[in-house]
Amino acid sequence: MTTATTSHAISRPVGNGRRGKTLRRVLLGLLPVVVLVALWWAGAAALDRPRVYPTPPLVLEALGAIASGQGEVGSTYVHIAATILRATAAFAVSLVLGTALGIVAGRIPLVFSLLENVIWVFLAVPSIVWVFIFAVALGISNVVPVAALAALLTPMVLVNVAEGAKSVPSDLVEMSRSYHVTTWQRTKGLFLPYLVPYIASSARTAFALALKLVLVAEVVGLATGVGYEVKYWYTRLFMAPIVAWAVVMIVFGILVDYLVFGRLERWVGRWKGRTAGEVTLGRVE
Amino acid sequence: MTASASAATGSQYDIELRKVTLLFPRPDGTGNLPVYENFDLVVDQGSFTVLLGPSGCGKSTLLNIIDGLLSPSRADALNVLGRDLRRDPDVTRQCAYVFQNPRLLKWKTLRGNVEFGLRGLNVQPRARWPELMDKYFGVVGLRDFMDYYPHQVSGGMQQRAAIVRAFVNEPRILLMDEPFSHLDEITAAELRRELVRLWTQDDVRRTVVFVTHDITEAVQLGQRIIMLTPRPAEICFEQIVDLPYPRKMDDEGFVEIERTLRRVLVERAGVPA
Repeated sequence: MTTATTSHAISRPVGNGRRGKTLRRVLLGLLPVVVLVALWWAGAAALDRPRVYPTPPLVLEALGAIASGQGEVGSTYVHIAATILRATAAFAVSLVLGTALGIVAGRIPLVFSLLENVIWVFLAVPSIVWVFIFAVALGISNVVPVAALAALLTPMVLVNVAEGAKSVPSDLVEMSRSYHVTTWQRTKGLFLPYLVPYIASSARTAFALALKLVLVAEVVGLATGVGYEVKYWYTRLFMAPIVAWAVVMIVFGILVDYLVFGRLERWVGRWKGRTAGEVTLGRVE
Repeated sequence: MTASASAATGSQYDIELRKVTLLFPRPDGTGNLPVYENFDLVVDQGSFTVLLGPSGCGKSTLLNIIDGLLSPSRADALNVLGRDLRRDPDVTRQCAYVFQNPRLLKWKTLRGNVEFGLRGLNVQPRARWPELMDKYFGVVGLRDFMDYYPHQVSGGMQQRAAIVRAFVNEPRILLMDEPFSHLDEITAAELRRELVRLWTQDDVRRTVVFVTHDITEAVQLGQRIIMLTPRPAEICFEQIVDLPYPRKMDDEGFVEIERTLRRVLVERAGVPA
């Protein structure tokens, strides 16, 4: 039935302009979701083992249980808060550290050469290994997921920002040297604003990754967090809450991405108004 | 303080370059390309000097050396305002540079861009900044556009803002590198008139070194025109222009000087006619 309505909307000539187009896009985006849920429902119903292959209503029920706050292993809100806190802390540390080191590495070739191989090694270490390294070194604590994520995300941000810092137009740097601009003023007035798009896109990726990987750290050795919840339901071989927790993380991730980073990116793009501004970049000989 | 004191050279010129040699490594690695070889230049205080020469002969490079942005390979003297700028690099705080293109920060308003320069050169007292900005934005007709971003105004207005960024510091020395070459002729002519007005209205005239490859522009602006040859750059001709400002382009003396320069440029600077 839903599919019928959708195709109707598609075949109808778009008379009311923008709104019609938006509606069409939303419906087109929803179509595969609807199809997937329908397939899942049919499959789960056919297999008839609701504990392992739950139907959508069972997952909804589990979501309701999460929303009620009462969980078998303590308040679900406490777990959500713990996860978000860890992901955000690791994200913040990586962003600040990665940006600072990235600017230095991008502007000073010697520093870049020194860091280059280290960065490659850091980027190549599997995330789970970072978790175990910090768990063994620091013992089980809140520091472990934050440190492991920071070790993982900082080099990523660093590489992006360094790439941006290398591309700062040399004529603007020369201008700031000519006007005897101090290092601090140059960082604040020239490098950071120029790097905002690089930092914003790194931040977007870093936050999405942090949100996913924090669960890995929590599964390994913590008694709170969404990862702990997922592991708990795994040990009890109960699928519906596992999927429900995934839905919670997906919704949270999408909301943050749309409401925070999407807006940030639009705000960043406000300089691209007209190309006349580009006159200041790239020297024409 | 001791460093500054020992940097004093007793030079009576605002700018004094002696035996400057600048080598650029050749791209193919076969030794060096001399841009300047034992090059001498002196500039009097309060004068308007034009460096005229074909594109690519290193005129801008010379301004970069004077501003301390570029160190020559060798030099017997590199004096600005009687100080050796190698030992006292802060002396170039007395210089302000107008580049070929505006080089504005597009995330700052025109006012923000001008402030960037004022803060950099640390113009004191800060209480004077609003008055200074008001004055110089006014002179170039941008008072109503101070709070616009560069992309919201025309290329000519951007270049005007870049000129304000330099003048607002009331520097002892102004370095200008073909500042009007990217503008349409009408805007360029207007800005040349403004530049002459700005320069002549000051009680104590600033020293200006202006680089161009445009003969008419050179005659319109300069008191002393120095013609350079291509690499290694050498002074091949000097012309004193003592016509009163503002100069009329159809004036007999003006046309005569233009004709001379055009002929010399062909004969000595290796520019095809």
